[in-house]
Amino acid sequence: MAAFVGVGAYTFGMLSTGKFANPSIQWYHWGPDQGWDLIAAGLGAMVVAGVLGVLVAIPTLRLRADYLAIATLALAEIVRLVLKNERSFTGGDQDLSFIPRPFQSFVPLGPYSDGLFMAVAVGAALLVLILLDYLTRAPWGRDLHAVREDEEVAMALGKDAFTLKLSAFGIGCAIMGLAGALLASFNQVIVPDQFVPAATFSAYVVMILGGSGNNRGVILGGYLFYLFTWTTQQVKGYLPSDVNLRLDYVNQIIVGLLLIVFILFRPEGVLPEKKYLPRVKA
Amino acid sequence: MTETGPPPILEIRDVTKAFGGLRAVDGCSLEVFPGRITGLIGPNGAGKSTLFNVIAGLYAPDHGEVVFEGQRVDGLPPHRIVRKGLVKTFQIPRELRNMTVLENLMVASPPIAGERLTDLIRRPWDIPKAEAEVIGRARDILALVGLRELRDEYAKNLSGGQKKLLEIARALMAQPKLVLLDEPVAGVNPTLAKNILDMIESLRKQGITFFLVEHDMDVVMKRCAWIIVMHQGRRLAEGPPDEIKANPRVIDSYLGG
Repeated sequence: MAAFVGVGAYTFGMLSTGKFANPSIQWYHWGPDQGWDLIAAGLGAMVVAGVLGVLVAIPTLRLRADYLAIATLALAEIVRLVLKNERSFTGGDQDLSFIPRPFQSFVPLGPYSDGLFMAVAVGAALLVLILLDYLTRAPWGRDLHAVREDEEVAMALGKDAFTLKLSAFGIGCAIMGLAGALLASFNQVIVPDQFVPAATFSAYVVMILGGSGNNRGVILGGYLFYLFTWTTQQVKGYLPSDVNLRLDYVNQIIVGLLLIVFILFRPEGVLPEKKYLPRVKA
Repeated sequence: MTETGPPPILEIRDVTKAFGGLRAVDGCSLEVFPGRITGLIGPNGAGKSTLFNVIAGLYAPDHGEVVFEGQRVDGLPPHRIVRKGLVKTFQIPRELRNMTVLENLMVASPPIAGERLTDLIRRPWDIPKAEAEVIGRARDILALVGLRELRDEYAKNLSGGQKKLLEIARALMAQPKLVLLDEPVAGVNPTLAKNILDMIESLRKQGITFFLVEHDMDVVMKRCAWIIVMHQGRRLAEGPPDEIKANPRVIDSYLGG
């Protein structure tokens, strides 16, 4: 996951800033002569992440789920190291900075800009949610669901399981690319080490907590996860300094425990998958 | 053995399938003719289920040809074979557990609008119509097999017998010409077994051909018009039930004295 967010972030960063955005440093990253329009750069991030996803999926989707997970973690490391070392292309360890936010020329950086950005991000999330809901409810989503339940049966019922998985993976990667673009734009700076494989872990926690198989569940999971880390950060200030330092680790232990508890006792998450009940009277 | 009448709907020509050193199917040839119920019998390990999996495309044969309606289908992926009208049910029901009974049937429908991503962009307006049509067909089949009340139940909550019915219902949903039934009544209570077999017979009259593996000899002898006996991966004998019952080689290897 970190791989595709990273690729999305860098694609967006490179396309939106353009080649000569940062005159203060000696080397520069690759980019168009003029920075692209942000929507175009965002779409570019989705396309590049999606295409990379499909290319990676062709050999790896044949693997069993657990090996696939290992392969994607390895990919995240490869991507991070490529971003870090291909200096003339990505800027390498040097920050890729001066990434614009939307409407930057109208709204100076500050709380208003943050608020505006939130509106943009929520809007993007809503569009993705609507798209995904539509896809899940369409016959395509039902076929994919069948593949998840039992791939061999799905094939015996006439479904092209491989193509279904490939396209789903590609769509997922494009959305992760979009997430990377938003992240790059909000922070305005990206570095390769942001995209460590451990970032993937947080995403898994969010998904399992909220409910895999339910788009709303994943959103809820995101909030729960963030609420938890935010609360512990707030508590931190009131604790003596020796406890304070350990809190980050305790935090991780609790998240890990929570993950195990959920997998054991409520694998469907807080919001389970919804049952399909047709509106057509039968 | 040579028939005058319609050509075979399914021909197996010298098919071999080995797992490691074990030749589960070993140079097997046979034919299935349309419009009747053909039974496939043989001792455990004779290669019946393997042969079924080869026919359905779940295994590629090491050697030989599978010909369905005059076209070679060996080597095709399972989903392409299904679309030609050759459908297989599983020996142990494999319901799509976390999907409703209705969804299990809907998935089995021949391709409809909205299964390809390009449809979602090119002709989204066709999808609701296609869905309604599929739901209608599913409803009819559920009524036929007697699962109507359970339409919105998760498939995992069905009883063993109901899962068998679902397995057959799903096969019918695919609009098959030939259905491979792997032990359709094994482990089913006698009343339900009779219902299932009566249903198969009435579907046969409507033009669907059945090729089934079954261990219950009463069922096979009473319900099948033609019986093929497999032994050690190949065809040992074939013929109408009475002939098979009297065949000394069959008695020797399978039916017992």
